[in-house]
Amino acid sequence: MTMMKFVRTAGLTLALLGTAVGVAHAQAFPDRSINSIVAFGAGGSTDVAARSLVRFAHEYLGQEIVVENRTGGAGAVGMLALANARPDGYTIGTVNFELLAFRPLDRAPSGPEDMRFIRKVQASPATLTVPADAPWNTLEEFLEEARQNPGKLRIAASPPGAVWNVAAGLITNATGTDINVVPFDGGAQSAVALLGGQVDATTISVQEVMDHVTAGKLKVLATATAERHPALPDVPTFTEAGYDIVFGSWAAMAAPKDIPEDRFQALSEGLKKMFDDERFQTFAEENGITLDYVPGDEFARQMEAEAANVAAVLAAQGLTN
Amino acid sequence: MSFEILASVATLSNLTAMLAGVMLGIVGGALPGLTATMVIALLVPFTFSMAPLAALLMLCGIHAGANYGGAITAILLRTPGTPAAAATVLDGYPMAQKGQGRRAVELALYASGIGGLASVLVMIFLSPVVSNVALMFGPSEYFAIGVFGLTAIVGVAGRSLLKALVAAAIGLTLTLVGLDPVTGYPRFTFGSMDLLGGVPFLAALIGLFALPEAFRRSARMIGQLREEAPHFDNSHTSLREIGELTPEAVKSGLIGSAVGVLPGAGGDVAAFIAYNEARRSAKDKSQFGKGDPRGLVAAESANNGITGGAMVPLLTLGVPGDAVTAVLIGAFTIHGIRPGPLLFETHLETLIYPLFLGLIAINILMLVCGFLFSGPVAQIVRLPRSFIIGGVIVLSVIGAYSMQFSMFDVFLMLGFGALGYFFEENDYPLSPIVLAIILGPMVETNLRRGLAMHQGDALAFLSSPISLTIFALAAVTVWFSVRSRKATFATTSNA
Repeated sequence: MTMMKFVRTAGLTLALLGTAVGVAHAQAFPDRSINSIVAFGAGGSTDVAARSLVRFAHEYLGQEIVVENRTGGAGAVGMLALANARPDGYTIGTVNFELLAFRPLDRAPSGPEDMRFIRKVQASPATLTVPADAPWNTLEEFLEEARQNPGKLRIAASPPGAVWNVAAGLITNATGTDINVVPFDGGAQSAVALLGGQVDATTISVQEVMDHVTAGKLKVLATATAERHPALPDVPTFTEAGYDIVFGSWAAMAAPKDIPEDRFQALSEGLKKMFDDERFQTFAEENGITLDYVPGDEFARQMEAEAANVAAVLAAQGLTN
Repeated sequence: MSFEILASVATLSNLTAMLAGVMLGIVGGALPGLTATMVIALLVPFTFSMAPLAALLMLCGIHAGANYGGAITAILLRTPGTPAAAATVLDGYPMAQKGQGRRAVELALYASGIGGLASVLVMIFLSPVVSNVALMFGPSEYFAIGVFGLTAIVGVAGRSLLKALVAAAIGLTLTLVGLDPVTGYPRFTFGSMDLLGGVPFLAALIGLFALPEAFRRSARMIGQLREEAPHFDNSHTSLREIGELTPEAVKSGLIGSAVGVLPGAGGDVAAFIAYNEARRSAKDKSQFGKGDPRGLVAAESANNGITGGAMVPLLTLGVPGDAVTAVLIGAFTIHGIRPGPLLFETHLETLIYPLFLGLIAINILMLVCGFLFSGPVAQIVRLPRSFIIGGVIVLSVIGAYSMQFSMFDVFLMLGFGALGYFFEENDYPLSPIVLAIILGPMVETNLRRGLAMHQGDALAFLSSPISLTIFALAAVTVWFSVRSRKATFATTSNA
């Protein structure tokens, strides 16, 4: 039958074509979509930043990067899954500040030494923020009140071991003050507690308080940045006031430690292009995401020092064994 | 609101988006393991190419649709599709057992629509006022709300209050598992990573409700026992019945809106609070838990009441009102809209007003779609029982697995199934466990947060007029519930 013959020939041609395409792709990485693990829930700030970064991945890598949310255990579940994933370049992920605290807190057997950092993407510096109508207009006035009434002022922060709680610990340690740190579930809840007058201050990030500052409800007394924050040029840093606090949350892209070098380079180049993409830059600017570009290996060296720092704060807070 | 705003909403692409959202929501909500939160999270990437308003309307459509969809499987198969449908099981499933599945599904739909519309109206007219009220809620007030919610245990207790309290205690104990909310230290995790995030609620819910029923029915099948041919009454609900239940639906919708406004309390909490209020205010309480339409309507209206309520803190403060709006914040952001205190100034005519109109349209579309669905879907219960039992078990396993892609959750769900079976065989009620798992974390976290704030001074919880009022309400509820229990069970034991 001519029909049968046609089908057979067509099938054979297709099969051959398929093989050819397969061979061509076998040399190129990536030849299928890449999974990116985010350890926090869909829609949160970590997730939004991760999704917006890889949104145009196919233009730079020829493949999609698919974000997968693996939540639980305050980020421990997702970041451990990334550390234990097959190191073939097809599983990457976003890691955050919390990675530094898992081992000291005995929460999960994973830390910066189990990751190959591809690049640091985002920085969310801590602040000391108070209501706009609070009687203190400078950091020193706030600290003076804290010194005169030990234990009376309240700071809303995340639960112990999480980033804004560590920030509060750093502030009370460095300034020698006794302030009551009340744990709320992360940034948004801390902002509400401050707006509602449940607490006197909060340590959450510039990004999380910025809208309320613009709306005239909150004011920032100091930022924990090395230089003044571009969005808050009139607000001094802790360092200017004489307290050595440069601290905040961060997000970095990472892969399992043993990823082959050529694939690491391919991902590194691809992600750099996505980072530099004008659409991503505009998006970040419009949404108050503070981008911070640090190449992976340099960031890994920074993290060695930072990990020791964080472990020391956690020990000082009595959270480690 | 001008005519142009109406025109900007009523475009073909917006209407298609809303319709697609509502239908996807209903289907997703009905499947255990796909909650409103997950359906929205899954579909956010697909909205990238859509215009912002159409994208947001589609996602809001999913939210509304899923809150109703969860009721369908809760009523027909005793398998709550979403956590918010936990209270729907109480009277919805008994109605289906009496053969009134279609009527129950239709009433759930109608209640969802009324609850949704009531909450949209609250949102439109009271947003600025209500968001200030939300700011007055601190740890003491949330603790009081949690305690008030727990008083519903008396209402869902069944014959023995003691057994209900035992069940609630087990539920509360289960909520201790996971990271300590105040010290951040792992509790009762036995060194396992799987338990670090606590006992997964949906796995517990599916295991407790769906599996025991599947076990019982298989036991009867294996024992060659003839099940009474299920009586099936394909009749619709009547306009008269709808009229009678409307006050209940409106009241519960308002309760749902109020709970939705509070960041940190979602549809599951709202449904139980509204259910308990419906039971408290009813003259004849004897049918509650045995298929009283008022219980069904209260639960379903309240969980859709969340949809508008939870948008209030989202739009005015940039703070999610529940788990679903937490995902919506991300979706807004991806479309270049930053919810928060500036939104009403910058996007009033381009986004806020169209969104308000869209939410009204979504609830109407949901009523229409749901009405077309409810007839065919109610026929599920006529399938051979081996299909139903097998189907429920398969759905339960997939549902438990898909939440975190974890086999551990599947085994946990099966364990809860065994626990549920044992409980029901021995006349222990299951709802108090579920209620305790829902409210336990809220009560504990806020109790300890409040104590931390006031340096251990427990009397501080009574210092706010709001929390005092709620505590008083809780006390009154317990007193009335216990008294009405005596009356109810005195008459039944005489009979």
